[in-house]
Amino acid sequence: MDGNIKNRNNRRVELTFSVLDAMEELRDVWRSTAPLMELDAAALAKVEKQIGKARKALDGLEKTL
Amino acid sequence: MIQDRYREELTINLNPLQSAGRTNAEVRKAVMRYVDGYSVCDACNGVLHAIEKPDICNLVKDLCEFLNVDDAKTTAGAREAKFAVMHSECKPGDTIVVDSNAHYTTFVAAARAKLPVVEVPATEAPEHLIKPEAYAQTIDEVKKENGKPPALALLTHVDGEYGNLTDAAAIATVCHDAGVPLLLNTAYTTGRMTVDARELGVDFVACSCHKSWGACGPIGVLGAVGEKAEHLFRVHERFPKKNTELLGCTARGSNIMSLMAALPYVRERVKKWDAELANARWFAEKMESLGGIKLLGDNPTNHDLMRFETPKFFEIGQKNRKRGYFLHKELTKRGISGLKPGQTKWFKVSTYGLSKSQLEYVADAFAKIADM
Repeated sequence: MDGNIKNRNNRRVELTFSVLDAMEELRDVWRSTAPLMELDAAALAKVEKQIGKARKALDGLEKTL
Repeated sequence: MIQDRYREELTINLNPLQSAGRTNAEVRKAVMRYVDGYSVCDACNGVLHAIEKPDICNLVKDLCEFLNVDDAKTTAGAREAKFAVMHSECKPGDTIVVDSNAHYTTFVAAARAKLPVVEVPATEAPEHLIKPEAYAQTIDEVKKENGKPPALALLTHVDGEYGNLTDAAAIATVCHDAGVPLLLNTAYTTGRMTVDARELGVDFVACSCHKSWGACGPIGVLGAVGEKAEHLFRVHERFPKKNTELLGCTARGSNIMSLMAALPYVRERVKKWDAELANARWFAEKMESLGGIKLLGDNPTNHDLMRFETPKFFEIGQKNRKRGYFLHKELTKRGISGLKPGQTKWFKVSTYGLSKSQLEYVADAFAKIADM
């Protein structure tokens, strides 16, 4: 397989897992704040960080298409 | 279409079966990567527990160190571990002794191994305690009746009905004095609190990692000490890479990888057992202070699994349109799950893994419902 294609494919899969990983981190926030999910500053920062990671990975993924 | 399950995200789940099996993000990430069948077998040389990539080989070493046993292998759960020991240690005509608080799978495993069971009685209600002297007496009775001691004793370290913590070290001494090996069922202990098999003096230890180690499962661990380990984990004559009692390879996918990911967290969380216990005791005290509610078993409790007798809620149910279902409905309304619908005379809960604010929320919910 051509090296560029191989790198592109690796990148696609890595970024796919990056999105999924960020969502799993997010699930932990929902779990630790259930049932009210009233987010304090630390929890809110974690949510924003994971959303940012997922968004960045999705943008990167789009660029590989 | 598979039904959604958002219970852990949307509610506080008090189900004792599930509370310490809740996974964290790292465990779920591992599961995602190894979710395909036989996914750990890419570089397998025929021995699951010797696979180096992923590093199952070192997982086994870590498990031995964590439990302080000479050898340990993964199983599909504690019940399979118990069956393997019974089947390996006993022969036709043997009898085993088992505490009367034992899980049903202990009795089913014994039946599958064609072994008659003699029960070690618990003390009367409301404590239901399993005492070393009861083991001594039961072993003596079996000796008198059969002309030989039982081939194996099984002790449930903490039982699933009352959450009673037994004195495993004292019972191991009693068993060994009578020449009887002891299998400790730690489905509710290892992974929650420190359990050192060698220090306790037990010969075998059965663990449930989907119950108490925050792994997705189905997965358990079977550990053994001394010569017993060698016999238990013997290999098949024709297939020398395959353990006979384990039927060759056991957990060979996301389940074992979830355990691998969970173990570093489990090692840390057992160090915080005192805080978990303090939370459980705080909660029990709050519940009993409502009146008409009594904690059964050890009191104060020695575990996060607690069984309460709750005539108070039964009485409220009698006056409520929903009758016995009112409690479940009221808890559901407040985002609390894990109690069985219709149960008001008694129920079991676990406080494991809840933050103090979640625990306060639950205690407050019960107090408000008790005021109805």
